[in-house]
Amino acid sequence: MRSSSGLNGMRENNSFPDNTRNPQILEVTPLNSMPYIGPVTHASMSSNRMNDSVEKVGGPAMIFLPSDSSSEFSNLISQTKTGVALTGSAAMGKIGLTIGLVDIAESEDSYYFRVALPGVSRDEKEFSCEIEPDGKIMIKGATTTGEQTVCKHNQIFKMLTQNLCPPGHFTINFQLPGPVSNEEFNGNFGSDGVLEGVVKKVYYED
Amino acid sequence: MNAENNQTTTTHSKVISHVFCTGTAKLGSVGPPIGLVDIGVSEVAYIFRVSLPGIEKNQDKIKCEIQREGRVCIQGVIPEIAIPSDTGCLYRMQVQQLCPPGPFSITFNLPGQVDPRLFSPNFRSDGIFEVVVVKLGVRIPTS
Repeated sequence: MRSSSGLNGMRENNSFPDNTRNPQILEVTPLNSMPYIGPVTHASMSSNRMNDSVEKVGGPAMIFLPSDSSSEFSNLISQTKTGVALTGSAAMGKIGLTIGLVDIAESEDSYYFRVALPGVSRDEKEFSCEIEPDGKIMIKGATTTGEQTVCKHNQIFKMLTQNLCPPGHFTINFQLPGPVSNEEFNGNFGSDGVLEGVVKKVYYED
Repeated sequence: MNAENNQTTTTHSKVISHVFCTGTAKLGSVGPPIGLVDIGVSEVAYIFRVSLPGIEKNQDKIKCEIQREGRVCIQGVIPEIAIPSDTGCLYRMQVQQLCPPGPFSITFNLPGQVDPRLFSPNFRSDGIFEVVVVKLGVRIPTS
């Protein structure tokens, strides 16, 4: 996807196989992604800059660039007012919901899964993770981001964007590939906003 | 609404990688796992929050650079996945939706000019990087 207007959500890509200047770069197929809605700055909030005029782009847009065009990329970044530029690994995650993206790995006797839960309260009264013998995982919690007003450092901030998950309760359900022994579940909701779990497989004998 | 991925067949069973969400999980913006930004404004300062799940263990490698005109550049490294395993088994990835390990950068603009010296970063314990930076030319109240 390439658009001549709008510079929201730039993403780096290594999809130029005939680029002889960087033979180290592997050919990577373009990621399957959805348009990213960047933070939109209202013109009324820029009252201290008289000449600041924010274009109202009709919807988000996306630009793919090869990774070796750093000067071109910096030129695009300098022209971006309301977009967010991602490079490296940040540009390679799957576009999806802000919380609830899942990694699942499998070994001979266990499943390992990770769930991204940024902004989710780690209070034991609000968070729970249950697993059923057929491999279904149910997560319940409450988010603490996405407020309209934030009080911090004795100041009241009015949020201009609402990209992060709004506050409130949520549930997330997903399925592991096979049956598990839910008594042998070992989980950890770390202080980095990621829930990790390892659970033993179960093989039903006929 | 589900976060959907392609099904992968294994030797044992099929991976059903649909994730079903209810409540506020469905209401946030659709975006990348790392780099979703919210920006807020008060009378004297701006606040911005960046979603950085899974990076807290590489917190010392996070570099946040704020320029006078409001440009913010956050650089860091996403750590390798350390799967706890008592038998040292090899794990094979079946579903991969989070960002792979490696360096990354996030660049965006604040609505106005700021004083880069007066900024207060805070890495919350829920994977959110929160920063308050004072606007340029603002006299700090002494109260």
